[in-house]
Amino acid sequence: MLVLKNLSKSYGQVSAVRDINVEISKGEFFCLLGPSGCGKTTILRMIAGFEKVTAGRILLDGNEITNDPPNRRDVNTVFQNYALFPNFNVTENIAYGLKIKKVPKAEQVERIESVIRLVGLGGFEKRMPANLSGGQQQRVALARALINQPRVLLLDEPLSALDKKIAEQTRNELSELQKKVGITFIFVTHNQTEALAMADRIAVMKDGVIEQCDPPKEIYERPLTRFVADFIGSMNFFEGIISGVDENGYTVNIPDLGPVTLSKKGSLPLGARVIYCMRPERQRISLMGPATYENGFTGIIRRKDYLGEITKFTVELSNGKIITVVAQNYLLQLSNEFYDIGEQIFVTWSKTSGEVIHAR
Amino acid sequence: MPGKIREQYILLVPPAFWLIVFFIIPLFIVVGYSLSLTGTDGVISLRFTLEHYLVSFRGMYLTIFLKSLLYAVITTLLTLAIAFPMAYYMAFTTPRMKMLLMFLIILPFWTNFLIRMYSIMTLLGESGLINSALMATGIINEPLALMHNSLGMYIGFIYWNLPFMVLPIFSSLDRMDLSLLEASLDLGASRRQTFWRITFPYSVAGLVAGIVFTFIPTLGNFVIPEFLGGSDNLMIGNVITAQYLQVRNWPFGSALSTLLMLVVMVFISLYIRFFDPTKSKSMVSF
Repeated sequence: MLVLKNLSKSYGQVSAVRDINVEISKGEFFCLLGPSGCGKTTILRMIAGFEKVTAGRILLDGNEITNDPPNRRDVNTVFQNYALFPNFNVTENIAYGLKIKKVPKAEQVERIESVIRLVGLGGFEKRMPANLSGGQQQRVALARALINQPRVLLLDEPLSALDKKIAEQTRNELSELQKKVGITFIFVTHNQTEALAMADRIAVMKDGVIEQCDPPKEIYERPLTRFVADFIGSMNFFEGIISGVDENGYTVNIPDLGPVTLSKKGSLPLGARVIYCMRPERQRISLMGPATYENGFTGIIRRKDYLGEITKFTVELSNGKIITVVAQNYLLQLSNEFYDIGEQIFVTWSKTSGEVIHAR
Repeated sequence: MPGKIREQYILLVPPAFWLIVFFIIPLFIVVGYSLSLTGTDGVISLRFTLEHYLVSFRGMYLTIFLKSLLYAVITTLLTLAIAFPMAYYMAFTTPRMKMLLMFLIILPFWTNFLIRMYSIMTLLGESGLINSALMATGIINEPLALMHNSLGMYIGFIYWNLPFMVLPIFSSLDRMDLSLLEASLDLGASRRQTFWRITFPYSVAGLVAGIVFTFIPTLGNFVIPEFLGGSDNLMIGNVITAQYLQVRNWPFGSALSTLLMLVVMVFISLYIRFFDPTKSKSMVSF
């Protein structure tokens, strides 16, 4: 288990990471997600030992490693640019850690063979890094780290240098590989899709602070802050006031638009100022209001973007507020529903699909 | 496209002309002289002889030749020992500092070589800056002999060669990705192991180039031993100059020059054989 306790890092007066508290269990696929400059890489580099910790502690399986040099930590890194040694071939790169630790030759050969098989690099043993594709280099970097059987593997945006198709394929392989080897993975990325697809738990970061640390589904469906709601996927936001609380959930009054209901229990008091948010893909467009609906507003379509799988509608509500609504093209075609720019429409959604965030 | 190729050959004419007139022809003249008899009053008669070469291999001259090699080797090693840490620091410091140090290293090139030699003499002399400062502070009572001996010669050589050693090493280390060092530490190597396994091999191409740029000019240099060396710090370059300008035995001077050239060519051939500088991509070939 890796524990970060009140971990902080500052460069002079500038604080890069503030008061991070996380416990990452053995075998967990943990993801640090955030925009560039949020401090995610700094945390990774502190765990690896490349950055001095300003305050706080790092504990690995109960042992304090806060001030240990990188070569004394049972932690290995897959670097963003892979950092393969250019003068060593694939096997020599992979063998580096074992050679340093003076592992017996026979065992070295055996372990190299098995890790090469594991990452699927058979046939490339004698190639130089310069003669490998990005995806292959990434595998070498992974093999070079995994062969040391570290307690924690740190991955610094390892897919960002690959093109989309390869990155997607590697993503799947990586998550299968992690299950197979059972090593704790800490994965840094700014790509929410990668995080959602692979992680057991995601820590969403902003300005050096973890905003929310939860499993992907929680992060997506129950964002705790406006930043998290906005950063993951897309979201429509309304400022409102809690106008009713009962055993079924809240009623939120949105000025100029009217009340919306949502089935969520919580501790928000009556009259609390909140941000009501809902996902564009959870809303439905119709020409007239359905006979029964739970929540709904009228609006006019201002823009329509056909994106293949989906169509994105930009809708102006009756109070002038602009929201986004997304519809599956397959469903639109199936029900023979087509909407045009300028049309007056009705947007409806269920009370299970909204979320409120306490406005501060 | 034969027309294109012909145009490219036309471009080669001016440098070829230059090299033939000012390099190849003089070279043949020197070799020719070295095989000619010296007449009385230094008149060269074009009669074939190997006498000058036989004399070259006799006692004194052979000793001076070997001594020159030794001086050049020691100079190269000392320069390397000073230049490597400098280049290493330069390669891994901040970009601003890098620019500043680069500027400081190139700065002496804007001053005439002789002026620089005289400046060094004013530094090292008996009443020079260093001795006066040390005596004024009472660290020493008598001036140190900093020049007109081997020490002075080596100081001069190292000073002169330093940029030629620092710059190639710097340029090869500068290309190195810092994350390689982190990767090595990450994989369990100590700083020392990282240096010998990753950093040093990376620097070898520049290091060898630096050695060539230092060793070969030092071997043929005659100005620095003259200015800063002692009476026994005679190098082959000094002997050649003396044969041409004072003794006026041009054929013998030519023979020594030809021999020096052959020695240098052996070293350069070895360099090209093992570290082909035209293959810029080949970083290390152990």
